[in-house]
Amino acid sequence: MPHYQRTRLLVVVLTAVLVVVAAGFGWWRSEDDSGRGRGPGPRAGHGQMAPFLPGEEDG
Amino acid sequence: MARFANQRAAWVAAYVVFIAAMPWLAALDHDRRGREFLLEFSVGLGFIGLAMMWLQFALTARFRWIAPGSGLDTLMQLHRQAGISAFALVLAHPVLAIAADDRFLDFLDPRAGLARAAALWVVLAALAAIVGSSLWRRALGIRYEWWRLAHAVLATVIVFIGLVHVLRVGFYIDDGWKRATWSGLTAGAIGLLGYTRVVRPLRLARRPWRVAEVRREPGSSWTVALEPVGHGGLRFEAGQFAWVTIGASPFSLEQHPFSFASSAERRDRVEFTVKELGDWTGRIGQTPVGAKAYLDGPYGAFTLDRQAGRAVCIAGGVGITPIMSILRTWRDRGDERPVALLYAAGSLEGMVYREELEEMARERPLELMLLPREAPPGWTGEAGLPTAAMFERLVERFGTRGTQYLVCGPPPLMELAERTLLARGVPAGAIRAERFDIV
Repeated sequence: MPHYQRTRLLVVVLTAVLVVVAAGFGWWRSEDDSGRGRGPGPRAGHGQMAPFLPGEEDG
Repeated sequence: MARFANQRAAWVAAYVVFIAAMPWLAALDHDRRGREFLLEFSVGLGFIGLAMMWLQFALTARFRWIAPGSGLDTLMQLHRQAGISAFALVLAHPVLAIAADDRFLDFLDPRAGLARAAALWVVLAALAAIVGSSLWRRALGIRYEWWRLAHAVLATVIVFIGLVHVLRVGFYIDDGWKRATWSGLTAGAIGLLGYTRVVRPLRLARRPWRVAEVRREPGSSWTVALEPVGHGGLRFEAGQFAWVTIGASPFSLEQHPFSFASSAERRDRVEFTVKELGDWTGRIGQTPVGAKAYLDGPYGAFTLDRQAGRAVCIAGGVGITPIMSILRTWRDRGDERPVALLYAAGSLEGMVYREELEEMARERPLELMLLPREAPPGWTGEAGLPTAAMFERLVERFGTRGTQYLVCGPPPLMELAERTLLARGVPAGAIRAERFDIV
């Protein structure tokens, strides 16, 4: 494969990996039906704060 | 070669790990409840897209220590392709967020917040403009120097608004250390641009050159010779290139990448051969002798390995230039390794350096194969466009082991040559290929 195509393929593969990482992040941060987070760690603050939605910030 | 392959792998890994770490870093020490998958996915893409944008500045900062075994043309292509990917990921961020909750449409509504909506529309327009102008600069008739200026301004606007967005939303970036990290990384990216456009030109200004000679070459080409003024010149490897500014300040946007054509044995006089192809190169023949010039370089990995037992060079048109530097250096150093050159051009008369090459072939272990597109009267050699069969014959004659193949020319020639060489068993590491249309 010519080096230009190798570079293009490399970027496609890297982008796919990064999309998967983002999806993994989404899964880790998302809540299941019971309202509890799936992932481990110091997330899912047990309802201490409401989810962010437009109007909550001042921008 | 293995060292370069390992280096490349390490750089790619560092690139991915840095970008991929950003959403997780943002979520570190975070105590708000998570939200639905689609929204968090979109947030992940946003953080990743912004990190890719930061690294775009590093890819074009011309650091020689970034992936030294890869040519700058490869880094520029990486920059271009990664830019498209970053554009797609950043664009997916609002699309998925709105798909998750259409109340996010308010972000784009000036009635719900004029400053916020204006900033987001500006960044969307800037993203479209930076990608569109880069992909279709020539088709849109945008002059290179104006495109360079616009590219820098748009890139700065994009990462700056990206940072402001992250800070204002503040869902994840809500601690002081996170704000400082994201602000610092954005400032670092913009700072790289300042380094490239301000600090480096200041250094170049201390090492000026003057135009010593401008001579006409066949095939609408010109050779420009430069001599150092008040310094010892430039050390480069044959086959490398420099960003050249002639008759303008080192801060000028008129900076073009040209391969050295002269021998690397001569630091006190360097030559570039330039074909009249665009606005600036079309006027290169009118450059006055004595004009000031500045060289940013050397760059590139299109060089002949010391370990190679022999070399086969394949040049198309003005792609002969870096190969000429390699051959002149090979001659001047008394290098006895056999070299073959297949040189394709529009016509025999239009072949730059033909007489010098023929003389070199008479005196040195150089096998010269000239390939004019149209055979002149009495021509007994081959003529026409390069074919896969020609490259296959080169491999049959010169082998796959211990032979380095150097390919430089127009994209169709390079694609065909690389594809054929690889198909015939030449290891990828034994092929050096460099495009000269990197901008």
